[in-house]
Amino acid sequence: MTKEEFINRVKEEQEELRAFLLTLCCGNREDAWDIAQDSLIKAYLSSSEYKENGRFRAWLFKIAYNTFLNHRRGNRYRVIGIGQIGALESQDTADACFAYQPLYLALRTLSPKERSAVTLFYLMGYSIREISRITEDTEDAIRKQLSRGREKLKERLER
Amino acid sequence: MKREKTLEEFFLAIKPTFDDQDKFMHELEFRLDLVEQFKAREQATLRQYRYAMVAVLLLGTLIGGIVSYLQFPMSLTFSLFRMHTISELLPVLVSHTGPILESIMLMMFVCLGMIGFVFNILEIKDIRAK
Repeated sequence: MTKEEFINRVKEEQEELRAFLLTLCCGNREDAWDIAQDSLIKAYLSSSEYKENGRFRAWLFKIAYNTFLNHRRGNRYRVIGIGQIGALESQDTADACFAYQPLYLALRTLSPKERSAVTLFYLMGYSIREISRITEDTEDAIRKQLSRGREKLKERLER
Repeated sequence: MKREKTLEEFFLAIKPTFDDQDKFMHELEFRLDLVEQFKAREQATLRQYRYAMVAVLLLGTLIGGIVSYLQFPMSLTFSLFRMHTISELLPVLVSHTGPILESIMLMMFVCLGMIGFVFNILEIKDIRAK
């Protein structure tokens, strides 16, 4: 894939990719931007490995998901307890438009894997099998992550 | 697994939109250009080192050969001409092959060192210039 071809394809997918990452980063636009850029550079460098099968977006999501997990391992994100949520509402890092969105705050209580599964399922509309391909977890593991994630979200959102 | 309607609606309601897509693509293109430059530079360096290795091989063999020839005692050269059978010739040649190969290897290492030194100096100059 040439650079121009890659850019053209990314232009079509960037909004979805960034929405996915922004949700994973719980509304932190700066981090989502950085991870999106890093993911796309990684995707470009490994574009020779991409086999044309109409799943370019899923392939990008897979790279973005792994990049997100790697960034997170650098202690940039953390999972918090439900009781700590109140303190987050004053954080400067959260995106101004979404900082107080209950869903973003509720998402922070989820583990990264639960958050990814829930985001891919509800925001992106992927099936469990597709999520399993992206995250390289088993379908059973995805079902459990979704179930746990959903319970936590409901608990938080119904307050 | 069924999709929970409330959650789905919640997610869709907050689905973010971006008004900075051009800026994002502009930065990406800039980064990709840097990647391309880096790749081109890496390939050029690799090519240079390959040429250098060929040069080392040729130069080392040539200099090593000359040095060995100059070290070869004339009396032995004459005695080699007087030998008529392989059984006479082989032991003499084998006993003298070791030093010849040694000289060639030594010269190759010397050339490798010299070329490596020159390359490093050039790279340092290049980095300083940037």
